[in-house]
Amino acid sequence: MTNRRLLSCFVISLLVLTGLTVACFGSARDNTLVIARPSDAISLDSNQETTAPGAWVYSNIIEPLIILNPDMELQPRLATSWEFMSDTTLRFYLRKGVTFHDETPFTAEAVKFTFDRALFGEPRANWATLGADPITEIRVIDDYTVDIITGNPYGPILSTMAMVYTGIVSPAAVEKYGDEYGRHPVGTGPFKFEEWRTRDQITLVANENYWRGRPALDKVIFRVIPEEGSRMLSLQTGEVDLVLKPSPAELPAFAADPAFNIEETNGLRIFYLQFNLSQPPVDDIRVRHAVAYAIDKVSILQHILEGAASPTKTSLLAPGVFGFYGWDTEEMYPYDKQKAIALLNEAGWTDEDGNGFVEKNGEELVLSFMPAKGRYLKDIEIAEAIQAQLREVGIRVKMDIFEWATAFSKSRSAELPYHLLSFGWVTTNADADYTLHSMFISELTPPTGWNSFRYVNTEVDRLVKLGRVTVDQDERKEIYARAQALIAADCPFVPIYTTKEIAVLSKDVQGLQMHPVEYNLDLYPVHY
Amino acid sequence: MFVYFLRRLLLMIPVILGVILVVTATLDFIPGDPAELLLGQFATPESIQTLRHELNLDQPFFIRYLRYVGDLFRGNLGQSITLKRAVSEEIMETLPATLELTGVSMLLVLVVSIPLGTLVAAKPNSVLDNIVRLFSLAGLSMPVFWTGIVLILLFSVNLRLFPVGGYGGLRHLLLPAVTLASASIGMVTRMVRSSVMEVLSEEYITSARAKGLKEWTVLFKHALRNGLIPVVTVLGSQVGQMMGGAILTESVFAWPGLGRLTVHAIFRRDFVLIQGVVVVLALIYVLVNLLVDLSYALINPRISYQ
Amino acid sequence: MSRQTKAGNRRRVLRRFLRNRLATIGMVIVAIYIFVAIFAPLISPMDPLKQNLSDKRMPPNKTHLLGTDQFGRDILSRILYGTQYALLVSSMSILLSLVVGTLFGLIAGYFGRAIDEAIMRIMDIFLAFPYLLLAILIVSALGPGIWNTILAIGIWGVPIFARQARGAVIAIRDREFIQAARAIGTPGIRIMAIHLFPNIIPPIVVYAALYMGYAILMESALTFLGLGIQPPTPSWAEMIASGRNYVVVAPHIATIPGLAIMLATLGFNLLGDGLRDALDPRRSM
Repeated sequence: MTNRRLLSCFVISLLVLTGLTVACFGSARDNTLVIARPSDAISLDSNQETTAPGAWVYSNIIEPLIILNPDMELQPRLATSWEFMSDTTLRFYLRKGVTFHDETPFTAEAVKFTFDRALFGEPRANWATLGADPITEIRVIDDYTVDIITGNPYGPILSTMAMVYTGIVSPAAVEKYGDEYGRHPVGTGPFKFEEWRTRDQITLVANENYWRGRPALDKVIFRVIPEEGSRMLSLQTGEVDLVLKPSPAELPAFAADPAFNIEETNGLRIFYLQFNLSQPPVDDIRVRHAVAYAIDKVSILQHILEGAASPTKTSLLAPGVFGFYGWDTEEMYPYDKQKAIALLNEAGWTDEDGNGFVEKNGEELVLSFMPAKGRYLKDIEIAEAIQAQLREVGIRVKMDIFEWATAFSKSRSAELPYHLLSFGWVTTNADADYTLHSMFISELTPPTGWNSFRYVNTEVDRLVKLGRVTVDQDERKEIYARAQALIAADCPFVPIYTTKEIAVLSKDVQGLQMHPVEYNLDLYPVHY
Repeated sequence: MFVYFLRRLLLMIPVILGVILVVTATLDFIPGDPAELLLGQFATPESIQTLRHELNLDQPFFIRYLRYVGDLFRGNLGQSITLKRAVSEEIMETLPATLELTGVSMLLVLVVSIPLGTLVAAKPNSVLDNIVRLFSLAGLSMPVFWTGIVLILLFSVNLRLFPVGGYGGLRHLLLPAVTLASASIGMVTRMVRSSVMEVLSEEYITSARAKGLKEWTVLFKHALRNGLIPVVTVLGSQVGQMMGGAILTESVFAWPGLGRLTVHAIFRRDFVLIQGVVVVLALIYVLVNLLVDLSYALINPRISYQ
Repeated sequence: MSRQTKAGNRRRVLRRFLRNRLATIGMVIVAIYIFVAIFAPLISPMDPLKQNLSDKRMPPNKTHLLGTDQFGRDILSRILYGTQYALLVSSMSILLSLVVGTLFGLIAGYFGRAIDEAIMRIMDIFLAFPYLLLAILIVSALGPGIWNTILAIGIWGVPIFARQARGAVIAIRDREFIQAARAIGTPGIRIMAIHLFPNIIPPIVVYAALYMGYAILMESALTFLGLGIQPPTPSWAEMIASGRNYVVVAPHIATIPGLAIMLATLGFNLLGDGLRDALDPRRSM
């Protein structure tokens, strides 16, 4: 008797629970775009965050004076036109009648404020050293005219001004929010910031007074879904409308499904394995070449990236970048285990004790590898594959995995006790100088510079410095070609893949065009 | 009664101080320069110095410890290195979501375990008893993060009944709550069963039965009431289990609570944040145990005079 | 106690244990796992580290009985080798907890009063950390790796074993043979080592078996959170963590290792339960 009572209580509560669950089904679709991405932003202040999670969001809130469109052509944005007053002075004529989201007017003063804050403020913007160093002064000529002045002639000045980081911020907002500005960004863009639930989602709303006309969407929500499988699932169930950084394993299924579209374009980011030339034995070029031959890049592209990325050229610049020069990596360093082993033997590393690993003078060849995790597509899977492939030629690889920001910071410290690292690099302003100058100048090693390879080549130094101050673009191309040929032969890194900027969206989402520079996610033309 | 309460409260204080001691001491065990390691990609010599000063690393251990305790009492848990916000703010923002999750899970545990455990206690070694025993053992052997993934596979991927994760109403809460509860249901059911069985063999039960009271009354009014004491203990300890389980569950279901914050802190080696989270959770746990102790006194007033 | 009675007791305990079916099953499971851990290199069909990218994500088939993972590695071999890591870490952790905890418990139980209070307060401090959080704290500070994991889980177990040992000591410290030894002036250490310790072994052993299960789960949790061992060493929890990405296209990668964890934990739980029941049949669960 009691048992039955109990059982019926149980069943009833179960039914109630199920009923409540079913009642919560379904959500109304309004004119809102829900986007899923792997990680949350750290800050929406472009001075503090130069990576995609933040840039995707704030590229719709703030606007630079000029931009590079998806075809990599310069287009006016907050500036209507520009001209070079001299080799070192670039004048911009600004758009009139534009207001910030907080209703303060956009003027040359705001431009000066933004750049002064970024380049000369305390602390400087992270992007200050990425191509903006040569800028010495911002001069206001009148309310709608402003001069950008560099110390020396600077070839890439225009592409630098087109970087999404240089978006103009509202001086009033920065005054008002101070340190908290990163959580309350205010710009002139098509969308206004509304809310940020940390590690959950960021909400933007349409800017009714946008100078190009109100965007089609009412609202944009950027959600955080770290696992690629879950992202695809949310798209499948309709919880999100657009997925950034989709899962390569599931792309074929979504491509075949008429309910979804895939937007893609060739990206500018190269994912590579890098050497730390200050750590023997990778200072021996034969060892580096052996590693390059030992890595089966084609297999990695086919089975780990599964078509979601493209093969590389020997340069750290992608083919779309101005000044690019390189060959197919597969041509220069094809997958050849025998050649790798031969090179190792030549360098004195042989497997005498037959345990499958090579040694020299009794010491085993152990390379310490610090791969970054969680930032680039399949970064850790590729690291594991490389570890296994190097094992096949007798090199033992010890891994110390760190989350990307930590690995990045360690790579930028003065002491780097690792032989191998892996990172992705994008030439944000699409000009060769950006990468070649930051990364390959001998004296610009960390912590001041970005040459974490500790690469030293005086001829490359000379060429790259020359290229920076040369104004004739054809001349620059030639100079950079020579530099990249030298670097490719020296092999301070092994390029693994070139990104494709891919988004998977439900078929109702129209108007999205992916940009080769990952950070530019233009949501203005998107509509249902 | 009040004296008992006061005594327990006072005993709590050295424990809390001890916890904070352990937490601040671990900072000393970080190999290398913690400030440099913790600062992330923008470590400049100036910022390293600032952080060393902020973390009081340039002070002897005892001063650092006292400063931390003092800050704690003023609600200051330091500044998260990776998020550039106050740790206390981050915790306050994420705690409600976790409380929601653990609250519903605990409810599920109670709703399932207590009736079920009582039922099988009345019929030991029956078919039902053996089934429940097997399921309980299986349940507490399953790693909670795996349970979550399997549930997602069954209900989100295949049956499309529930969303994959994220924050929301009942639909979003159900799978994570069931996952988190599953880790505790087995344990608590067993506890209820053994405790009720022990009580059932007591004399006053036999006399109650002899008096002709209905089985229902005997079971629930008398046996359970007295059998609840060890159960309450187990529930108290399950709160601790759930806090750990919440970290794993929130990670699997992308539930934006304190657990996810912890995973983020671990991933990014944000030790200031980890410290803050551990201290807060330990404090809550100590408080919960205090409440558990007090409830003994309420259930069985004879205990409070020990 | 006379020799014969002791032997008789042991036989009785053994009989009770074997009569308990679930306990026997537990013992068999644990024995299988230990066997696998020791003989993994011999019974494993393939090299668990060998990648074969073109064979990725194959479901279970004739060549790969449990399928392959995202790198084309044989899952069965990885599960078998994973046993080594799992058992090594959990047994070392429990050993640490047992040794240190029992020591503390012996001292606290024997000396009583102030020393007992002091030691138990310290144990209380460690018990105040909710499950996993102390381990997370320790491993985050020291860095991931097998020894730090063992230390972290071991420390977590110390107060538990200390309590057990102390309880067992208190139960027998007032017995005649202890009083007698005290009376004739035997030093405390001798008493603890020779008289107390052998008699508290049974409950300690039971707890060791029971807590092996918890240690396995804790180690899995830490590894899942990224605080465990680095690749390419096969580890069940790591297989689940990385297999999560492919749960839609290849669910077997993430689900099968979980069964390995569950079975191992279940085995130890059944064994521990069985031992506890055999030693103290009044406890009916």
